[in-house]
Amino acid sequence: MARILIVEDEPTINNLIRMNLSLGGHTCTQRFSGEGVAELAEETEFDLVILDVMLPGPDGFEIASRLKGTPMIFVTAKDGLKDRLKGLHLGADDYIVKPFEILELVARVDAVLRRTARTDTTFSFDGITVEFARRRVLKNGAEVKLKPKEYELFEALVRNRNLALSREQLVEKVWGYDYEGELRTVDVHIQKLRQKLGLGERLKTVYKLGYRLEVEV
Amino acid sequence: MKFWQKTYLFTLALVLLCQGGGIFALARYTYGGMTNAEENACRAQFVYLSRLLEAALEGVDPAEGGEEKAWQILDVFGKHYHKSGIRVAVYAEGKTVYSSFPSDVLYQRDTFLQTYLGGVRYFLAEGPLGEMPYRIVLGKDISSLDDTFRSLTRTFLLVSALVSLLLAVSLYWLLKRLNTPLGALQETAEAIAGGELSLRAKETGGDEFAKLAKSFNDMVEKLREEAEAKQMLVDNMAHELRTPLTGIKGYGDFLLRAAASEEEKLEAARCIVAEAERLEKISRTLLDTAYLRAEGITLQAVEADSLLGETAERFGERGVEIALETSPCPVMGDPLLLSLLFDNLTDNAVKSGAARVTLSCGAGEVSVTDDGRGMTAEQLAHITRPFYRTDKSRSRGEGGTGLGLALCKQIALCHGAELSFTSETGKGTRVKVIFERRR
Repeated sequence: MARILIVEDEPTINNLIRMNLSLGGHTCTQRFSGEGVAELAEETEFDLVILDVMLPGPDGFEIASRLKGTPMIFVTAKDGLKDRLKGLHLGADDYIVKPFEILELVARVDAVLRRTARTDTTFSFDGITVEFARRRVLKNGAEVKLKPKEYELFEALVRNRNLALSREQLVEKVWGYDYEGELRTVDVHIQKLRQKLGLGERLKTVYKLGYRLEVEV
Repeated sequence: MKFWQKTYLFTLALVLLCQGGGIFALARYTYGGMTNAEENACRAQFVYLSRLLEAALEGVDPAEGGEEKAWQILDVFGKHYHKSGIRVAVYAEGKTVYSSFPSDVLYQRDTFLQTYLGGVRYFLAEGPLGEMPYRIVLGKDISSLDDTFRSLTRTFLLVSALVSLLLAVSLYWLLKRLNTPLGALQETAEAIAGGELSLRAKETGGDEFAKLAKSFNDMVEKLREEAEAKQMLVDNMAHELRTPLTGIKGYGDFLLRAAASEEEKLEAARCIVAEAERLEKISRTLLDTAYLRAEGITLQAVEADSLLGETAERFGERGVEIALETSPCPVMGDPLLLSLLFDNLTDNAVKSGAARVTLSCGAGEVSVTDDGRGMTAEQLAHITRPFYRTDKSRSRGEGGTGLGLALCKQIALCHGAELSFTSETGKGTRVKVIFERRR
């Protein structure tokens, strides 16, 4: 989907980010130091740069000042207000502090891509097309009537494709934190989606974890 | 009560006491002296007057109607001497012939004493008048003695009161002034203890208080440095622990959630194990260092040169030339720990990008020298600090934890040895382990 540059000096973290973003279909390029990054970004077009602030060679802030125009997310272990402000001042679109939940990073990446219009406005698989802007789903060209919560649930699964989301996480995302209802509601809605969209094996129930929409990327 | 107040009151009381005691003693002494002088004068006068009256009463016999004549003669004397405060009484056979005393006089034969007559103090002397049947009593009014003594005492007391007042005022002022720097220091100390770590005491004046203030400031500075170093250690440790934990958690989460290929899942599992190993290494080194600090070691005779030889062998296959230059070097220590120390230092040398590493020892010193990239003075200052690394990414890639030299330093400490570093960027580094000189 999007071309993402990951600049992080710790291979563990760098690879982790790459593995997770690849699930969403993004193409990831990895760099493990600040050397040559600014040049690379000037030559190649990236939809998003994920940048660690503390790097050997030119540090994150230095590189950021040379990357005007490209959406950026800073990743760092430092949580000082000064650094946050500096980052945002340099044009970062978002800032995330280590350690972070991978789902959070995925959500932020998604949000930035959406905000900067670097992401597709639709997603398709198996003849099913989701149109994010118009909040509707088409199957083989014809619109499928979905209740608002059914749509939102489906969108959440699409945006986090290939990652399992628990019932609690789905309730949070779709119904909000204050929802007092039972988790069974999620199950009911999942059933409805399976029925209406004929998702079959794509919408997997992951034992003890939740649900996962599996699509090739 | 405050110290300076205690000092003040004590000094004042002491001075007043001494003064009082001194004056009292002086007064008594003076009075004693004056009384003695007066007594001697009286005795002399008695003798003189006795002779005089003896001569005057020559031939006048009271038994043969001479009483009248005697009285007249004595009266002349009596009136004359009355002016000088001297009273005369003459007796013959128990009867008073003449008396200029204001009242009856009790006397004893041949005595000289002090007594009070009608409230007035007298020296009294009694004695015979030559061979004649008369006896004479002379009395000297010495109440002036008391008057003199009283006025003397008054003067003394007045002077001492003035002196005391002067002392009280000036001592108070002096002590108060001396106490001000102490008070200022105490306030500063309180403020610093309350959290304002950047305050310092004033060091003006060249006296003991200035020295105290300076020592105090030095102490505060030292404490602040220690606190900063501790904070940096904690920050570094948190960072070092957080990273592998992030990795472990992240990959674990990935394994659970992701619809990923077998290959990717295997890689995730591998990363988890690698990060866990890293955590284990860090915690083990930290524990070892702490254990050493707490327990110390048992010493035995060790041949440092043979240990060094073993280290050289272990590092022989690293692609770096290892040169061994040893001479007998017996030390007291723990062979395992010393091996670890030598291995650690050699490991650093080999990883410094050197072409050649020299291990040498002799005369209580062990040296590891390399011709690698070296370090700046700034870096040298920090290298034995836990978690410090001169180049993070390279060090981590090589499996380093930043704790090696901290452990080395602790091992050296336990052996009573010193680690000394010399380095120049681009030229190389030399580390010396200097064991205590054997006495």
